[in-house]
Amino acid sequence: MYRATTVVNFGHGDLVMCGAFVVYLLVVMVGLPFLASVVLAVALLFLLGLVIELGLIERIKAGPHIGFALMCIAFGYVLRGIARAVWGREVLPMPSVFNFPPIFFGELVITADALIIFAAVGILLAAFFVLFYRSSAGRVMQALCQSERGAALVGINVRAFHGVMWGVGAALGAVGGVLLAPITLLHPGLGASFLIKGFAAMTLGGFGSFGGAVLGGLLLGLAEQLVGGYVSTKLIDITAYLVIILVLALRPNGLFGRAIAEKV
Amino acid sequence: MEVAFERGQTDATAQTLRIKQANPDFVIACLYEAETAIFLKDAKKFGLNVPVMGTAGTDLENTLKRVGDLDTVSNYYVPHMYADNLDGPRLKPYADILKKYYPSESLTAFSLISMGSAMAVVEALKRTGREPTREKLIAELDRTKDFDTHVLAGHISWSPSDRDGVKDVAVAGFVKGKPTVLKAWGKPL
Repeated sequence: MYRATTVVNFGHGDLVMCGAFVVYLLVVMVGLPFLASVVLAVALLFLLGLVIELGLIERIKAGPHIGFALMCIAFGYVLRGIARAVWGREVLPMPSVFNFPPIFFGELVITADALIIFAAVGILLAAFFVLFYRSSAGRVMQALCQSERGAALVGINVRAFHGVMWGVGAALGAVGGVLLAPITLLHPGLGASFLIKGFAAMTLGGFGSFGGAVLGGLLLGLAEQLVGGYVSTKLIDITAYLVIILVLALRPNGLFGRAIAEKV
Repeated sequence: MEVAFERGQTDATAQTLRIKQANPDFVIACLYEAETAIFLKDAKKFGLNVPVMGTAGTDLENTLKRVGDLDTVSNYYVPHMYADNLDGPRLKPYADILKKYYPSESLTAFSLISMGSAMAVVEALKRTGREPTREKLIAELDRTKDFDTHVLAGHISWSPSDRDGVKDVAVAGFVKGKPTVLKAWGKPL
């Protein structure tokens, strides 16, 4: 979504939480099958993203960039507040996609959740790579990222594309929530706890790079576990912040990010 | 060994693996509710099969609800402040009082904690007679010895130099899938 809209969504973590709660609501409280609930949640979050863009972000488009950040933070807090009002601060068990016991290969432990996350990320990554680099829609998105005015001049409906990309971003948040919540348990602060890790992964991989985001996430996860395992478990929480500081200081564009030259 | 699991962490992999590598006989998990549930899930995932003693605030009934399956909490124990299970017959009169005045409150490990102290205070007030004064009440409270509240696992004893009235606590764990107050490992009270 950042590639298409150049807006860093500080409320994305709460969209992740929101998607997970929608699935919980549909599965546990309404009694719908898991897969149908996930499809419904993804569709609902797509609509929510669309509404946020058209109703909130679009209105402040002409204002300073800080307005986007504050708006994203604000709607994130609103979503978190709604979840707290309904479910309180309690942690809830989220049903898993598949529930089979972990497989042990010596010291290596492979869980169903890990396999599903790995597969889902692989599929989504491939799909978005094709979409961005091999389709005309992807070229339009890249054109929008480079110059909205230029894209509008050649007849691209900028507003519609932004709306769709916010919808897609929110829908992907729902997918993330569904995959994460069985591991972390479900609570209103779920997404916020992952937001900073997401930014650290993006900073490390390079903002705007698909492969970079995934590799950044893997490297950050590894760094956290290695620091926790070999140095001190007290340092796990600050690893993401250290990564952000180090990368910005030493390699501001991350591993795969590109410096963008702007004409002034 | 001691490992830290910070508030709000969503993964206990490093902690669990470090603990497992130390091959412990027993784990004391001083954690809040959410972190307890995450640690227990990861302990099961990585095959850490040792008894885990949690905190009194992470009662068994609600911990089971949070993790969602009995197998994950089968080796989990908590200090238990009461003389019976939360839904046991000895606590039922007190749980009913709570329900009468706070019908929407769910029963947790903290729900009845003040009732025992309240009973000891009522007993002391009765002993002060028809004209209670501050001094008389303090004196009677300090005479409270080995008072059985029927709510708390331990008896209350106060003195002018010791106001830490309850020194004993029970332990609760799962027996045949049900939260049970224990007198020894695996043996119900």
